[in-house]
Amino acid sequence: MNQPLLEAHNLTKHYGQTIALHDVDMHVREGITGLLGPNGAGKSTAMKLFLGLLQPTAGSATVLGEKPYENITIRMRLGYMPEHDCLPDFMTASEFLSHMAQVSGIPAKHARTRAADMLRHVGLDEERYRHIKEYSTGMKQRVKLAQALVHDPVLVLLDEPTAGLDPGGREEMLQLVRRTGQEFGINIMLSSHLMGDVESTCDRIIVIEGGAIIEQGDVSEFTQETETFYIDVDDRRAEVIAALEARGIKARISGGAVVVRLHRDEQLDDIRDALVAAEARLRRLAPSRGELSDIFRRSTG
Amino acid sequence: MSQAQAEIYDLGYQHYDGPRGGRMQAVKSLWVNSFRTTIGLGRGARAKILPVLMSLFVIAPPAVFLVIAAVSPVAAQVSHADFYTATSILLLLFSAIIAPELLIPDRRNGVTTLYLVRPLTAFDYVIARWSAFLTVALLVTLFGQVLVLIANSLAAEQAREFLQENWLDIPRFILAGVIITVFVTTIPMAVAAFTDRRAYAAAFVIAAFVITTPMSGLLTTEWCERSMTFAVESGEIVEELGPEECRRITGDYAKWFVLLDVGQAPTHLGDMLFDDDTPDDASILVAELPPAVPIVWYGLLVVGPGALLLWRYRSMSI
Amino acid sequence: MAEIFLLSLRQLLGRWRLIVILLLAALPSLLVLLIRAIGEGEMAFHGEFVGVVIDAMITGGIMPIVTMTLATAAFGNELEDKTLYFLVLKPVSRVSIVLAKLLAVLVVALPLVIASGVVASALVNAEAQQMGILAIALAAGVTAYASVFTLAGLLTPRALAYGLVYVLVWEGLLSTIVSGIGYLSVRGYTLALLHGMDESSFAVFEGRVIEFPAAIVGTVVVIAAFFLLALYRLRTMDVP
Repeated sequence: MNQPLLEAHNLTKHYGQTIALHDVDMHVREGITGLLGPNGAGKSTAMKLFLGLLQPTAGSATVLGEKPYENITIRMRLGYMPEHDCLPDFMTASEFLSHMAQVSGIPAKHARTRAADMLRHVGLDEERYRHIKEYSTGMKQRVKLAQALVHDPVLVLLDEPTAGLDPGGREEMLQLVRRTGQEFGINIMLSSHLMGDVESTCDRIIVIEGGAIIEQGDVSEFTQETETFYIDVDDRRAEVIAALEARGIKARISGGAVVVRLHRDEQLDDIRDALVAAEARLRRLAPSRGELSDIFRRSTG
Repeated sequence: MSQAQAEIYDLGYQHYDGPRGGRMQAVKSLWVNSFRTTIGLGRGARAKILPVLMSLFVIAPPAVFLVIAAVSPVAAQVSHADFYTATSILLLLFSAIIAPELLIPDRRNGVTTLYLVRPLTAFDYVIARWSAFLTVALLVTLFGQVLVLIANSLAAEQAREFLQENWLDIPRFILAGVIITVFVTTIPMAVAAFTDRRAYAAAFVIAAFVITTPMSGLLTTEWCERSMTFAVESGEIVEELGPEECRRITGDYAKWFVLLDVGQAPTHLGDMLFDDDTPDDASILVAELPPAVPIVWYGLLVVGPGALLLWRYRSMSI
Repeated sequence: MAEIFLLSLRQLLGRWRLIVILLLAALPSLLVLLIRAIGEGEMAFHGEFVGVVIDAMITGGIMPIVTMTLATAAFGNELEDKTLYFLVLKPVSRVSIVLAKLLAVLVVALPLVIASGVVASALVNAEAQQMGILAIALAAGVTAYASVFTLAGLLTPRALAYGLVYVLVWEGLLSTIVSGIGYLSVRGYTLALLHGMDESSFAVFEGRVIEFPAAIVGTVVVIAAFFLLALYRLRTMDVP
């Protein structure tokens, strides 16, 4: 497939006075793409424009070569997993998936098979005849993913798939997303406000903030350029920061730790010197690979 | 994934290459789901109590007529128009309680979103839900009318002759059935679009219809009772009956105030379809109005809420 | 307990819900005003007014629907929103919880329903004693409905639906066909109380209502029994 799966040209969406998306250009090709940005950045708006739920104020959104707002049948080839709760209480997962497959255009007899297969793929084989209201949060999240995939879409849009999950559930969900992309061969665009999610799952990243794209590229480009370190000291943080800045290293306080970004390995020596100069007792010095706020800071400043 | 790989990984993901339906298939499957939800299929025994109970209420009166007609050779005829007048309140109760079931849980649970990201517009969604409920309501109503028809032909001296003479009643009661069920389907659904609790939707609809009946009655009924002030002064009621005085509180405007009983709006149209030998007071008053008036009134009561319902879903952000 | 009472009161008084209920309660007075404006002749506190406004509109519609809507919501909304759990975790006895809920319902329903009847009666120049009797009977009816449907709200999420069926089919349709239903009907008790306290003003109920003592006993038994049942239910149920 040569044409991009998703394409935006000068895509703009206003809600009254509020500008949700401004002049966005985007080309999404095969694989897993992460839409990264803080809450309110315009991620959900972008997804709704690609689903044809909203009409662009200006510009165009194209999905699989079609304009979704004008041609909603393209949604037979799209899957969507919303961020919020979206499951009925009094239906079994099996019934629900089969119904959703049919609403997406799959005939009844195939829908039942697809529903059973899909539930097996997301690991809900045993529980498929239980009412959804008895499911745990993690299980519900997997049903949400399954309903987005049950009609075998070409592209699936996942809105914050890890929202509300504990660390274990989050890892499981991300693993499922990776499998969906790599083993099932379904193209994915997922949105998240967590760099970790995007970094571990996606091939490409689009960073969006304030309704505009501020950066896009392969995941590796984002995580290797710079390295962030956390410096835990007992106290005297202000002195540490002053000493670091005297050595040309910008520092800030985050979560009780001093955070610095290094561009060269030699700067580690500067940190050691700064700590000595500030007479601070070092508790921990830990590297952290790219963090969302780093990317915003770098892009905007 | 290619065929070869699928054979190697037995449990691997399989792409779907079969036929796919479009919007029509989507509407159809939503319609089937709505139909099942309405009668409580696939939802456990408790979900079936209300639909079954309500259907029985609508069907019980004609079933009783049928039994009477079957055992007694001189049973009275029951008119199809009277059946609608008598059961309209039960039918309304049925839809006020059940119809919101088709819209409100979807919104509360967020399932509406999943429908609207499929090949289905908000309009399709509402129409599928609405028409499925309409079908159930119509089936229940027509079943009752068929019972009335059988009862009447049994009560007649010659069943065959009776049917030959009265076969026109069949298209009439079908048309009247559509008129009444469209009415009782649209209004509760429109109310259900504006509240997130099924119970409130039902209570609002029932309250609106139950309260307007006595209001209209008080304003339009011809009262021929003795004056109570006489009775209070004397303390003896029976002997104080003076000459009977009849009046309607709203006088000549009474025929207009009959329309205030909104629940009877569809039965006024039914009265126009059937030749009723023994019309009730309200029917006589409405017949004095230009025929366009009850038709327009019914139209407003259906189109207004229907438009609100569609507008609400079209402008809903998900 | 005061805290639960105030919390419940706030839950019951949603803005739109209150407006709709107020409008409903105002209908009898609006009807009387309409008749004054266009009608021929004066309306008085007798025959038509008692038969239609007091009986059909208020005891047959406004009183049960307003009270049931509030009473089934008292616990029903907590169950639907899965918040009852937080309530029973509080160090408060179950009696206090049921009592607080019931009081919250009554604090809203009693003034609304009583005012609905009394204001309309005042507009047709009813005597103070007649209005007093009406207020007493309506208060008894509201309390009985509130007690019954507070329990119903604890038993099933469809309590209001069953309540509407009960009011329309049992008290509305069947009671006109089958005599004796008055002994098992809150509306029947209310009408009998009215008739028992003032036979001449409420003479239109003659022959339709049960004996005055039976109505008093019935009302008291219903209020007490359903309160105790609600308490028993809250003690023994699995709170989700």
